[in-house]
Amino acid sequence: MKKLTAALAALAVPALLAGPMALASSAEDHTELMATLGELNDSGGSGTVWAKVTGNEVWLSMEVEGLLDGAPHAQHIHIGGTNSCPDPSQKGTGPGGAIRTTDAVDSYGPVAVSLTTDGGMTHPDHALDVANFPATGSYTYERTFTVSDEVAAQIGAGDGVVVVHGVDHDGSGTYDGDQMSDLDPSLPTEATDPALCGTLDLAPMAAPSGGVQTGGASSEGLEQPALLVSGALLAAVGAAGLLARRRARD
Amino acid sequence: MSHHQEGRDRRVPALPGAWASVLLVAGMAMAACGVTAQVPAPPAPQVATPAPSPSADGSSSAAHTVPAPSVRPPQALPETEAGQTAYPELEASRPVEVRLPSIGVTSRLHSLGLSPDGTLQVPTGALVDQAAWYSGSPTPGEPGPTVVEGHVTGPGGRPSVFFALGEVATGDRIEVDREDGRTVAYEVYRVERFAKDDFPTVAVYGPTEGPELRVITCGGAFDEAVGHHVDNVVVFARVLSPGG
Repeated sequence: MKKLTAALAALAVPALLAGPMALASSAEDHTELMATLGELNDSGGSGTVWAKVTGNEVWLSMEVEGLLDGAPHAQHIHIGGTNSCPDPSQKGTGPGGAIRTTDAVDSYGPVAVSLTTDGGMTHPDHALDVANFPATGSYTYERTFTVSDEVAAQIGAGDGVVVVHGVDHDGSGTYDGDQMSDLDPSLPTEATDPALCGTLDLAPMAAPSGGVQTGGASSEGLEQPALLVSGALLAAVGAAGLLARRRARD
Repeated sequence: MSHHQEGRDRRVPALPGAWASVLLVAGMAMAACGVTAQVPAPPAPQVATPAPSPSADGSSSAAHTVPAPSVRPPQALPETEAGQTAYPELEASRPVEVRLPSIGVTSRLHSLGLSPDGTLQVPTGALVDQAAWYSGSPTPGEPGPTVVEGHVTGPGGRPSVFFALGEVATGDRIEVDREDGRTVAYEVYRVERFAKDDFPTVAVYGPTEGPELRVITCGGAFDEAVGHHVDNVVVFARVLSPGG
């Protein structure tokens, strides 16, 4: 029986990882949002964001490529201003006219959520918790966190803007330079200047998770619905068990 | 969720524990993509080739009436002063048929939703060889991407409805009939193959400027260990005209 339990738990884990609504029977009670991250300050980066808001809970998944490697990238959901990204050609107060974070506050407003990694806090007060942000040039990020009613409503209305920071303007391979950050005078401005920005827009659909298993069918359809139903039941049982264990731990 | 443990040939399912869960997960997704040795590999899209070249096996169909992309301007789309296309958008009406003349495919469409694990359901049973519309996605002509999917191979490994999807090229025309009698025409602007474990959710299912279409199947390497193709072929197309 232990092996069966292990199998059930293993089944339940991918279902839980697929998002907070993966176990719900309908997609009606959550809001999905997506962002395509465009580069600011010629950072050379790109990325995408996929988020689901369910009540006060936000699940957010993010893929980023092409930023400075080996350096922390503070990342946030901003809310305010015109809920938009600045024109990348806007002249800022940074080196060579680079856009610094405060230069574009009219576009995206202040930090509402700090997208720290596990262990970090997500409150705006932790916006520069450098030890708890991704620190590679390309990364995937996924986290579920709780926000206030107001912030949940704003994100759900499409008001959120995701900004990723950290640009190596001079190509030295590290955050340096004479000018210090407009956010924290102990850091070079390169460490906090915005590198990527994207608006969290309402998704046109409840997006399926992962790829599509449309390779073909090895057998006729009759046994597959049965397998599907039993699989779903097993996943539900396993998930219930996992949740119970989590509750017991908390 | 790695399905690629060691790549050993494991056909006898006397496997408890993690292997059982792998099999069950595959079962949940109805992912039994059987391919036999008799069937040649499905065509792969021409990844990262900007200039269109003839398809590998010379499958020039008589139905291929679509000229090269460079000589084919979008039709019936008014241009705004800013040079942006003002896309005609339609009220919702369920799609009932899809046609890809460049690969000689015409299929009725049925509706499918999400499985309990959040993945897209796939055609089964009597409808296994019919293409399907993801009922959570916009209907053709509504803003956003309309999602159509179909198998690459069917029971026994024979070719299914989208076996040749990888041969679709940029500039090809795709048409979708709606329940209200309108036909929406699209022009393909991108054909790509993605690993299922690196599927670009936002690019495929995310917001678009106007009505678009995604046609999805799988191709590429067949993974014996998990029993299905490890890649999805995705065709991206933009609306040409809402038709009448």
